[in-house]
Amino acid sequence: MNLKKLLGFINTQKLVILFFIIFISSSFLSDYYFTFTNIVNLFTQVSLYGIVACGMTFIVISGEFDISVGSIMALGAVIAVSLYNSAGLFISIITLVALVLIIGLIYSFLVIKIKINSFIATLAGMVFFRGVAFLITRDGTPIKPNDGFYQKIAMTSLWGIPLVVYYFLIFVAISAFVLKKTTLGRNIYATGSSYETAKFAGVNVVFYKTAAFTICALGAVFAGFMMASRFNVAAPIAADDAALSALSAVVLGGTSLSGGSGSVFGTLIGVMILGLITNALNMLGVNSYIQLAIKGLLLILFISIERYSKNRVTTNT
Amino acid sequence: MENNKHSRNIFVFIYKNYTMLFVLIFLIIITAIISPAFLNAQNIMNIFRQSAVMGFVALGMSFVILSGSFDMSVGSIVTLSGILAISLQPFVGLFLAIILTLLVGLLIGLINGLIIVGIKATQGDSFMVTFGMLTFIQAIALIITNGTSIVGSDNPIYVFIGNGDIGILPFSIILFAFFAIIMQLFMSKTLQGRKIYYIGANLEVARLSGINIRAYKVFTYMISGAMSTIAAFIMTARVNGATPKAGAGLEFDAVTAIVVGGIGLKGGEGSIIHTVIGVLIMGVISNSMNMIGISSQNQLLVKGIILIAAVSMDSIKKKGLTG
Repeated sequence: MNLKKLLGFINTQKLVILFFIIFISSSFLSDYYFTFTNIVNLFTQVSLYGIVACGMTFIVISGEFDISVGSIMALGAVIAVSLYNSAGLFISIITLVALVLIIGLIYSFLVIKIKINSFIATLAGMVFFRGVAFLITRDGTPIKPNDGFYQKIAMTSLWGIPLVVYYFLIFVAISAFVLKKTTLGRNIYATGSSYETAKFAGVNVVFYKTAAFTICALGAVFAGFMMASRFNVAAPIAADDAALSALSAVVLGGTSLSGGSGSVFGTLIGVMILGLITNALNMLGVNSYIQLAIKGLLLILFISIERYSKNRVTTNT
Repeated sequence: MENNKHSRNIFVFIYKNYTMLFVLIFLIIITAIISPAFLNAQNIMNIFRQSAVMGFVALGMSFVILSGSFDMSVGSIVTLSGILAISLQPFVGLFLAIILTLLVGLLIGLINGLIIVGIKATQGDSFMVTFGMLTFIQAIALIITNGTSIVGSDNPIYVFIGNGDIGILPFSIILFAFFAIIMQLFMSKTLQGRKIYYIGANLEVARLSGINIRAYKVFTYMISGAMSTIAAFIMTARVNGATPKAGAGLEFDAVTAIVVGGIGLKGGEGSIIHTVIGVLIMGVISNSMNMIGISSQNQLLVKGIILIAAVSMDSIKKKGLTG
């Protein structure tokens, strides 16, 4: 009985257990590992794509996908800095909010009204928004904020931890709350698990899909804003692997690619596991190209495992 | 009288099935009016040369899309194959280098295909799996070259693939036409080709009628890999070198051309002729954008809009707008 309980616990908490296995085993890599600085570094590194991954969780649960998050991040960063320089922080933030809403509406129009596959709609968006980012910077040169304040937004240290880490954790907490505890979240689950059923049950499916696209864009734009602040520069070519990393974290975190199930907590664990792996590879001095190869393989692996285990469940029942 | 009616039917048939052919003709006329240099023989050959690279990628990807899947890894297969073809030549000679590179293209396609059928991937899964493969192969290309460009082969035969002419036509476009015709015949005239259509049109029905779906899916990915490799030969021979990001974005261009040409993304609908029309339309559009002097980055905007417009038109035509 106790063994059964234990096995059940392992099965439900396998991600958390995996996290601790990787955490502890990679600590043997360096004496420096368990230091406060390294743990803070780990969190700082994952915070940007972590925010993106939280937003991505919503869109995947709603049964769609957004491959354009990297381009949206770059666009958000470029708009944030150029408006910060010319019109100030307030105007910059207002414009970014408008950008989020516009992207959400465009995607929901294309995917729900015109019924384009969301892969293709966001693939076009990926190219288009990257193009807009280039257009704003004219010749593609990175732009820097005018003064030092912009960088302080993300990198001011509070109790030895940069603010961007707090933003990330707050974003996670709010996302988790919205998804689990509010009507908005529950209806996004319903919409993703069966569009037709949700529609017949009187759920305003169009609204909730739009909301999911908007939240995903919100995560990407917010992460872009923070990216520009963290590195004190906005480049139109930045964040080209955001979709890959965020999607890997979401899938690893147990969110189903068919929509309707998953959680922000799972995504958080997924983000942390990927962060640990990157951290360990950096410590081992593995070159960045090999890390890219590993990232690609991991995405394939996670998707395969997710789909394979799902197939087994469906054939068993 | 009889003959007249017959020819009118053909016109209606072409209009219904190949609407985009008229768009192509219209586009050519408009561009020619705006800039007369467009119709210059030299420029037209240039369009052909430029189109051949993307055209080969699109040919292969058409197979995959017609069977109801996606292959996003093609751009990076082009990159890797280009690097391999160039860097293997000094060691093993031209002929063996080409054969080995083709085998690598086929192998990547095989791996893609095996994963896709192994996990019973939906269309969305196939998109994401090959998206992961895109990253992986791109990284391999970066690892091999250590991020630097390599100078091309000066073997005259290899250069001929990209720059040679037969008569007045570029060799690369003749090769493209040859493959396009073979693939069109394969898809429309052979039982195997029809089966790929069935799989794309309705997977369940295809399964129930006993078609070996796994084999055909793997086959389409292998064709896609091989075609991308041929595209790489033309590209690296033409520009006399290979860079570790040379093929990046080709998957997007190829999807756009395919959709613009009129192939349905759901699978099972359209033909290689559509792909060829789409490739030529995109060739004319990027050529005229270059002539007007729009930077390649700003061309991204136009291409993004074209893809959305093409998919939207296709979708509205079939389903109408809903509320």
